[in-house]
Amino acid sequence: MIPLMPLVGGLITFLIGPKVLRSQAHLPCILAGVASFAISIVALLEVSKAAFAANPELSNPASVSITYFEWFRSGDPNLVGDHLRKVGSLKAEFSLRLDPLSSAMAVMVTFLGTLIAVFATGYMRDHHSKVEAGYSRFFACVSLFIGSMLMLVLADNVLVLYAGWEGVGLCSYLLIGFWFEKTSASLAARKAFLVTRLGDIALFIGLALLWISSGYRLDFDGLLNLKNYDSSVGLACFLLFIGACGKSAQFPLHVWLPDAMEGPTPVSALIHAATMVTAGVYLLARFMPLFATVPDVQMVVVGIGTFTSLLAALIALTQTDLKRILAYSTVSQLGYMFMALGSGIKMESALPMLAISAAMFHLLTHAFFKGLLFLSAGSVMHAMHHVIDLRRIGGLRKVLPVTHLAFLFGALALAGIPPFAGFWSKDEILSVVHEASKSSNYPEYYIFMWAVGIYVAFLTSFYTFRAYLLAFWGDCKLPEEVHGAAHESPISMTLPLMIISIFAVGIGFALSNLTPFSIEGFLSKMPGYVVQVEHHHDWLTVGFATGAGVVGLFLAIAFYGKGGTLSEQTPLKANFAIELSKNKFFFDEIYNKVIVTPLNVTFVIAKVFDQYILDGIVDLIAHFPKMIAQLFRPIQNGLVQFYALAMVLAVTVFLIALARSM
Amino acid sequence: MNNESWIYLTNLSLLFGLTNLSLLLGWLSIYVALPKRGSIGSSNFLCYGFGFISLLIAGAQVFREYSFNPELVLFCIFSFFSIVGATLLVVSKNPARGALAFALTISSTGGIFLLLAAPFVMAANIIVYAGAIVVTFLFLLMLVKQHHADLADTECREPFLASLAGFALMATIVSILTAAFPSNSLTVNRGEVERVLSETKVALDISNLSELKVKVINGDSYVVSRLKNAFGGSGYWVERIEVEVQKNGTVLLNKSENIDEIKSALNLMLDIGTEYLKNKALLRPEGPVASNAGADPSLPLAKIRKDKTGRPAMPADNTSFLGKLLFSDQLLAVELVGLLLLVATIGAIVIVRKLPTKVSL
Amino acid sequence: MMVLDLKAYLVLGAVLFALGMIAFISRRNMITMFLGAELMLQGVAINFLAFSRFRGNLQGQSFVLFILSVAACEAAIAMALIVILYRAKRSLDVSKWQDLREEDLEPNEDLEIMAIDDNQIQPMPILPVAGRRPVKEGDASHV
Repeated sequence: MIPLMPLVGGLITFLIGPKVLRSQAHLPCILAGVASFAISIVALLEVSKAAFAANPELSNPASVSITYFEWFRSGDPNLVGDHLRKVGSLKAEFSLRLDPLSSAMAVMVTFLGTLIAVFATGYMRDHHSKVEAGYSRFFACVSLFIGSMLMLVLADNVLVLYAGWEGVGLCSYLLIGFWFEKTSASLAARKAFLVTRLGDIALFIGLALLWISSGYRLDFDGLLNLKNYDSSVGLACFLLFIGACGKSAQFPLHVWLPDAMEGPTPVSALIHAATMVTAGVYLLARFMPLFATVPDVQMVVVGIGTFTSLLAALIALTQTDLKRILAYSTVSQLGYMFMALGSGIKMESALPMLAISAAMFHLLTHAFFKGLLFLSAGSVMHAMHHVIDLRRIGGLRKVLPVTHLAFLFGALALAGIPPFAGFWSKDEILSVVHEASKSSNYPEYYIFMWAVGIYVAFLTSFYTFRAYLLAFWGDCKLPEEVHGAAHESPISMTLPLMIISIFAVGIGFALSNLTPFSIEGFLSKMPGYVVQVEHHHDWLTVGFATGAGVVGLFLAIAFYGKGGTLSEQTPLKANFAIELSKNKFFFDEIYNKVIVTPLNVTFVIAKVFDQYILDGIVDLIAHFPKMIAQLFRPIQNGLVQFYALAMVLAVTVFLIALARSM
Repeated sequence: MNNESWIYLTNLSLLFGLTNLSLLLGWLSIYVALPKRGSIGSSNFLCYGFGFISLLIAGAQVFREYSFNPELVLFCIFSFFSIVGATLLVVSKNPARGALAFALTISSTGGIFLLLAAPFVMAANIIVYAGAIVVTFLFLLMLVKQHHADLADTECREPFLASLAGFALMATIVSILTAAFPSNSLTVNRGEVERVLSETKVALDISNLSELKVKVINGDSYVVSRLKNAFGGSGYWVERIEVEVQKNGTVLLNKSENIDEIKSALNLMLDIGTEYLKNKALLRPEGPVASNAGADPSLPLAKIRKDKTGRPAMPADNTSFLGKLLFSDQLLAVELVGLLLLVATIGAIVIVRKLPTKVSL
Repeated sequence: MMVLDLKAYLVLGAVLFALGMIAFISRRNMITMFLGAELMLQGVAINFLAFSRFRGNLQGQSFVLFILSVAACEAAIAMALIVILYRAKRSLDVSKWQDLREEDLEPNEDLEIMAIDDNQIQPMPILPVAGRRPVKEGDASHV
């Protein structure tokens, strides 16, 4: 029911949007979003009521699985055991699942989706309230996206999950390339699609492996409670992780996300900050019982997560495009989440639960504050006529007061300054990593990761405030496109900003410290996890992380407090490092050299092989009948009498044969 | 193999050999006479010589095989002229002469038609072919105004292969016919088979052994040899009689004193004969046959009214019957043919008309 | 010895049929070819009539009558076709029409007519147009 509404809304918008609704094409989308949100809230309340009331000893206390219809079926599902394996029976049901994890995600998706759709109604108009071309297309895609995302998070078996996964990928492609007239936008869309496709293939193979090793089960209950873990589980987990990397823009598949900023800013906020990119995190959280059994893969996960967060933070230091800074920041924060997830080792300990709750906590807070930051950036873009180059704007706090405040809250949250949201969740993550170092076989590894995480916290704070200060402080600089007539965005844009601001400020504290809303307590009702009873803050981590954040903040103020131009002030002397960072560590170039060029060479070789060797063989085979035909072709000389002669001879032979046989 | 078959075989081989010789000579004659590049006048003699020898051999065979009577003489004369006319048509370099030779053939075949008791068809044939078609083509030759002999007339396409193909076909047909009519084919018929079978059936009712022997065996297994002759003297059915009945049966019928044994052998013979009739019945036309057409083709030949030569009666005044047949039973076909003629006339006019616009062909 | 039977007539029909076929296959003049085809029809007609005679049944005769009518139609159409084919190539040679051969096959060219000694070829009789005085050689005043 929850994903159905946006899907239907999207369908309606697709069908009648361009003709009937025109400038009101956002209505089905927003109405469906609101309705889904309401149902999600109800579902969340139901789940939490069940969760807190349920007896933890029950096998399935707070998880409801609803089967809507049988999708398709092959083989005989009544056959079991070895016979089943031989027959390869497959029974796919369209079933959804409500448990703490999915209901929390659903509420977040519908809430942010609706608010961002409202924001987009203002953003997708020019300054005379005239809608852009493709207005209804935009809302149809957004609607479809929300529906697919809900299907992804609510799925109860991997097929539905995969369908949702591909659905969000498709919507992402459509929305990045929304302004397909722009070459860069269509290229970025293609890049995003192809890069995520690499991950999708890995995901599919991983799911197939799991399907086989679980005895041909598709539902999560069957998949996650494997009776005997064989060697393929590690490989399957690794493949799932690659899939998650593709979707969540982790190294080495992170290159598409910054380019995806070519899409409209609400899309960046919704898809590439809050929801779709977190699908990978959600996937790993969902499959945590499997990942926890393979610590080697988990080390890869935490390593990749840490490395990505560090790398992206370093790149973000020198970028001048506001949206790109935010994009790299997103990559970095997603790295944090993977760092947390990678710490979920040893199923019998409390670590997996802690990892999930930390990752999900950060996911939720990040969704809010990053959405807020993106929407603020969108507001800036809207006011500045799509100019967000930090070298050309500055001192906007007087021009855009509401946006300024919203951005400030978002930045504080991102930087992890207490008591804003990011502080709580980031501390959770670092604490989990610290905890993991105590129970891992390689404590030094996790300690190192922890240290890098704290360093990244410092970097985060620094680049965030660099962007903030450059954009909103200093002398008032307006690009010439604005013609000096910058003004605050319309109410449809500022209202969602204000609402999300409140959440960005308060959600961290609320979910972390207020018992009724505690994310940890809520998620701990998931079945099959060991729960750590008493909650304690890792004060060492908190101290370090907060200190790093604050240091970064003040350093940024020291460097950029005057809001000066970038070209004059270089924060570091190492020019090489700056160049490296500015050019995103040359990842695109390296990929071009390492992957694309050898592929091109291979193509050429393959082409030659195909044209001269394969075609040669085929032609040779074709030559035999041709030669035989050449023998008989002179018969067809066009002379009627020759044909008649041949016919008579044949008839004579036939008659002779007939006479002999009589 | 009995004596009878040996005689038959030598007879056949002699016939076959002469027939083949005749055909070979005919082929040579046609091949030599066909207009070819560089063909010289002296080859005409060769051609005529071969042709006459060939026809002489064929005629000698005909006279040898059939009893001499006016019909045979007339048949030979008409056949001779029709074949000569056809040969002239084949070999003539001048299409006008060919057309006249064709008229000769038509006239001669008219005589043959008369011999076959078809006077109306003869008349129609001569009117349509000799009167209309040949004359029309002579006019056509005039219209196209060929002033000199064309390469088309002086050279043949594949003369050797073409004449070989034609004579191979001819030889095949003749040999098939020779095999199909080994002796007087009119005596090999259903009627005789049916007669023998009905006699056998009657004989089966006799209970006295000596009386039965007199009736069916008559000292020389009478019934069996009659049936074998009725089957044509050789072939599958005769073999079956020899294998299934005579192997035990001849002995049995001649020597056996056991009436039951004789009767079982007769029953076996009866079965084979019935099967023969059933198989031959398949060759009969199925469905209703025109009622005015004369003898019903599904009737056994034995039941058909015969003339005094032993052949089925076909009165020379059958034209009135033919008219009755055409305008009663086959009225629709006649009307359709009339329509076809009309369409053909219009079509010919349309085809030959000069089109207003230049059409390249 | 017996009276003339079916076989004799069938053999005669076969001979006429085969001769007509040879004419159709080997002769290149379209008119001769057509007459050959008619000769084949004569052979078939003799067959039909013989069967008719020796079954005492008239259906063979009626069949021959239909053959005659169809042959007449065929003659009309064939004549028209021959006329237009002659108009196109100014020749009655059927070998001039061999366009339906394999596309890259060389046409079956006959040697030039000049290779043949003209003296050996007898000139055709020219039928003058009826109702008009024949034009004499070198006399153009009458035209």
